[in-house]
Amino acid sequence: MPIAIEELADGITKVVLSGVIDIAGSAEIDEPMQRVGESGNAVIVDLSGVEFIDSLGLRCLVLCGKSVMRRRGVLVLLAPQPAVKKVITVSNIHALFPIHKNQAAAIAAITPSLA
Amino acid sequence: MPESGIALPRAAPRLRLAQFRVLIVDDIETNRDLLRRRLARLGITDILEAEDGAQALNVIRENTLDLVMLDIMMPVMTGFDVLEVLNAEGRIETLPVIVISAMNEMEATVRAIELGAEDFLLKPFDPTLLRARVLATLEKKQLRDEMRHELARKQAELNTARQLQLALAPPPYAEAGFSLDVVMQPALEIGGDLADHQILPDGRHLLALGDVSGKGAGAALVMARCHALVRSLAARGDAAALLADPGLAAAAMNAELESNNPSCMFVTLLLGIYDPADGRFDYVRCGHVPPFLRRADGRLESLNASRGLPLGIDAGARYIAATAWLQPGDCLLVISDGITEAASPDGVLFTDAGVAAWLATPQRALAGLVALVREFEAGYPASDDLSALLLCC
Repeated sequence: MPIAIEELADGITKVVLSGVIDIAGSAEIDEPMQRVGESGNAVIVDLSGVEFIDSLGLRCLVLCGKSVMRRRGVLVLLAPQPAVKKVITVSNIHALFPIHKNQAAAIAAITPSLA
Repeated sequence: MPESGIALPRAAPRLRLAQFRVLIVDDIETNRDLLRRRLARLGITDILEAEDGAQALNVIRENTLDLVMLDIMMPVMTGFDVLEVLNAEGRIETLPVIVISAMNEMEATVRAIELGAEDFLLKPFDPTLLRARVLATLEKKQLRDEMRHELARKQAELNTARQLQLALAPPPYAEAGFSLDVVMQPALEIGGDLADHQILPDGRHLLALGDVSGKGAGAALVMARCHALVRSLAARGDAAALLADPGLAAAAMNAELESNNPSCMFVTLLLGIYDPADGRFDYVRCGHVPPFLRRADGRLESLNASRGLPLGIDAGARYIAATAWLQPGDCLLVISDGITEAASPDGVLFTDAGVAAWLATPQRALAGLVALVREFEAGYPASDDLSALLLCC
């Protein structure tokens, strides 16, 4: 299953993605990501298990993140592998959804927005 | 009452039975007559007859038929022989055959099915089974024909769209002092990459290479919209300001693309303006792969000073342009990620390193790079659109 969703303390939603997020992978995560976008206010997307992501996968992230941001929420990215990190930084998506190296840093970054 | 949004198929399909033409093949006249009467009772009246295999094949070759009712045990040429010829002539996929056999001929029946017969009926005919088998077979044929027709129509449409899209790609260009080569190869019939070259009134050259998220018809539509936006920059009232700072041009395009875009289709774009008079290259990189700049002495630079989000994501995004100075002997290569992400059969990617290796020697045309990438893919279908711009001074 390329996507798993956990609710952490303080209303933080953690989305764990894994495997290959290409045209097939995006199709599998589209709906759950959309639901997270509509309900989550503080979202951490754990990318540590993602081996590959293309523009369709990025679009899925962007759709979710934009939904969250429309409701004044925050979405951050956690620990992408080097190849995935490169795709994100070349496209500059990290300017919208900052990258954090570990969960503690991600939580610390999100928490002020919950106040 | 099921509450799905999907319409369930009707139990009795509304077939216009009078439209179907059926061939009855049997060496015994009374058998043919009986079957003809039974089919007439179902509403099928357009019926041809043949009394042996050779005659049957002639009728099949000279007429458009929807179904053949074929007796297996016939002298001279058996039903098996007929089926074998139908296979050899490639007709069996489009012409269903129901074989007529007897209860004690099940082995022969099985062999006929293996040879491509669609179904079988046992003599003496049970009216209910005859009706069920014949109607089922005709309905299947009708559905298959409709599907084949629909696929052909869609393919023709896509081919038209492809010709239109490829016509948008700019031709190679040369003037004293520099040359421009362009390549645009969609992965499917139509793609989401865009390449453009426009000579501005002041003699500068506007260059664009873009990549829409996704592939196929949707991406192609966004690509066309984006292409029009690039073309319109020079015609706008604020053209002077936009063309003096590509960052502003990107912001203007972004505002357009971000509106009416609920599915967040975004476009990575490299937009640049080259002035052959002094070699100045102003560019803005909207989430796009950084261009490669090969200097005359072989040094390779990456043009990543400019940055910005892909177009169409964030209405408030800011785009920061940068400038490079091109000298005689320099080569500027802008690519889409269809090149760096091209994959070999064992999953290795071409990457920046592959491009850098190609640029180790001076290049003036893109054909060599395309050939390298295709060789790398080793005949496997491309996973992404491939496009590039090469500007040589």
